[in-house]
Amino acid sequence: MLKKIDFGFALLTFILGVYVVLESFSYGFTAADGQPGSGLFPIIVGFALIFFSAINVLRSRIDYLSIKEEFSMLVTKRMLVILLGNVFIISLMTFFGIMLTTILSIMFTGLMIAWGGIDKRFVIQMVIVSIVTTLVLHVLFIRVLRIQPMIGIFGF
Amino acid sequence: MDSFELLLGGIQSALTIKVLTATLIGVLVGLVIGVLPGLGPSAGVAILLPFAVSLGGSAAIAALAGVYYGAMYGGAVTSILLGIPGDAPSIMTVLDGHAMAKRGEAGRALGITVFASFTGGLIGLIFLTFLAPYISEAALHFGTAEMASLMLLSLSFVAVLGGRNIIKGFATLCIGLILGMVGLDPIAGPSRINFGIYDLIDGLNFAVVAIGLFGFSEIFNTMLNKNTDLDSPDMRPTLKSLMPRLSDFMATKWSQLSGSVIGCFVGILPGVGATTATIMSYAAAKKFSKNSDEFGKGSIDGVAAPEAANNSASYSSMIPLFTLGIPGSATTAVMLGGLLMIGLQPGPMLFINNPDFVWTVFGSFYIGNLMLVFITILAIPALASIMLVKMRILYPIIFAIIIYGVYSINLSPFDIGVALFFGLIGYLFMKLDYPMVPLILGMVLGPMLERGIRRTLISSDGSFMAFFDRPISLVLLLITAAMIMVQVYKTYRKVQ
Repeated sequence: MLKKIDFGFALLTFILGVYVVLESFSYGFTAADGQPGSGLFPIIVGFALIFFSAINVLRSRIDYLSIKEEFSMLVTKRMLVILLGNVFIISLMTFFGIMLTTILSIMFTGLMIAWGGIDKRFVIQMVIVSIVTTLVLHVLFIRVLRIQPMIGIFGF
Repeated sequence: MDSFELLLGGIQSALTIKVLTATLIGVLVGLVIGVLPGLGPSAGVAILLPFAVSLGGSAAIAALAGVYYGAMYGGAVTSILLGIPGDAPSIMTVLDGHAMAKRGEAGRALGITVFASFTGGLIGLIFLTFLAPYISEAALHFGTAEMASLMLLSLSFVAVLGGRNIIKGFATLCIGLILGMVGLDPIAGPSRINFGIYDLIDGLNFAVVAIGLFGFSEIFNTMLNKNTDLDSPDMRPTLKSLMPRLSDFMATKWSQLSGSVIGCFVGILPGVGATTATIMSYAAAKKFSKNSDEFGKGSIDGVAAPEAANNSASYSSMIPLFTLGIPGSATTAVMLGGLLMIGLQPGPMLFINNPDFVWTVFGSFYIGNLMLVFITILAIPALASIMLVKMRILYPIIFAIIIYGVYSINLSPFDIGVALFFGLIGYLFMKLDYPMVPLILGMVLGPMLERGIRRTLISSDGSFMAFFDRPISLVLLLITAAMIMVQVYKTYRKVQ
């Protein structure tokens, strides 16, 4: 499985290199006055990425440098759930404000980490930790450091 | 009057309640700010600026400088305990410092950071006070071609750091260079490679990417690793492991010395000094170490060298500020603002018109450097004991700190999404054996490399010979080529 992901990732970086080169031609290799243009450096780097990615694609196909560590689908799925869950929670920051979003994020992350071993005591711990941590951070960043917070529909 | 006598006079003048208090406040504020991800020395100096200016005179600059080196140590704390680099120069500390913390040696790692920071700071200060005018004059010979060649040399260290997967190292370096180009072209102006996303028109912030790449990915990797019971007795550090060791100071003396010297000379170069100094000192320490295989896995020399370089570079970066009035970094630019606000114009005349002020400030730097050692030695057990907190409680808290830290950079939730995305990328990098450091180095040094190349080509009417006609640039390019060829050859022999 990991070898397929290695191949897929190398292919993605190859596509990124192609995208950068094609995009950079529109900026111009040289400017109107003949001086180096905005596209010069991206084109060089883009081609370099294409070159190195192509080697990585080939290597991944022939298993040139075996990736030793084993890959757990279950662990990866949990990681993706935590990641996507937090992305969803953060996207609600404009509605709920930074404080409530952070509380939700702490609780969600903590419960997902402990999934399979959650008990009532841990849930209570997470509620307390999430509220106290958020309050401390809010005081530190917003009151002391005077960062402008994002206020939600509940007024905080 | 001899510089040494002037310095002694300055130290005596700095031993007033006002200057000592200002230095202490600066160091404490810097420590706290440096620990918070997303906030580095420049943010700390900017935040304390109004308070510092109200103190006036040498106390103002003593406070700002205290924030500077306090924040650098704070950044090292985050790098070691959480694996999140607080700023670009802290990246190298993450490699070995965090590895040491994970095997229960957080106290040792933090302890050697204190010793190395003190050594680097002391040597950097000696450099600043006695050699400032001479070194400034030499630094004026560094033009755009030399800067570009130095950037290339720094980036070529990826060949040294890339290890087995040198090709993957160069691939991630290219990705980093591309990330550095996202946003406005520094010379011509158009927005490039923004994937059509409005929030990327202005580019990507280094701290956001670094926090995601190192911080979130480490959290994902460690908290979900089924093979490690992070709360088992074997994994939890003992009280002894929370304490620093004096023996480590002697064991790493050569790494500290070499790092300090490299930091002194490289740190003086505007814009790139500290980051490049830490890379070069790490590479040098690895090159000359008898246990080079341990680097990247928790080598104490791998922490000592870049931390010594970082601190000595911080002082030598003030040389252009005081002697020429040219700030070499964002932090010294804010300090320049502080000097102007208290009515002083930095430059050659500052030493002539206000010698008491200059030598008192230098004296306060020595006192502040010593103050930092005592404060941080006392704080180490408390800081290192963070690793005793259960991971299922600690990591969600770290998540929250990162959310606030990343949000505070641009006040944008989009940045948190970017950090999470790079957390996924970093996780994949770990699994697929792609090194992360070249990506960050490419992102930080890439824009400077591009500016150097294009400005050199503009001034030479498009001729690449400008890089070879200048002796310093030529030497740097030859060293770069030699280093890459040697490393490629060594890797080829190993594989064979």
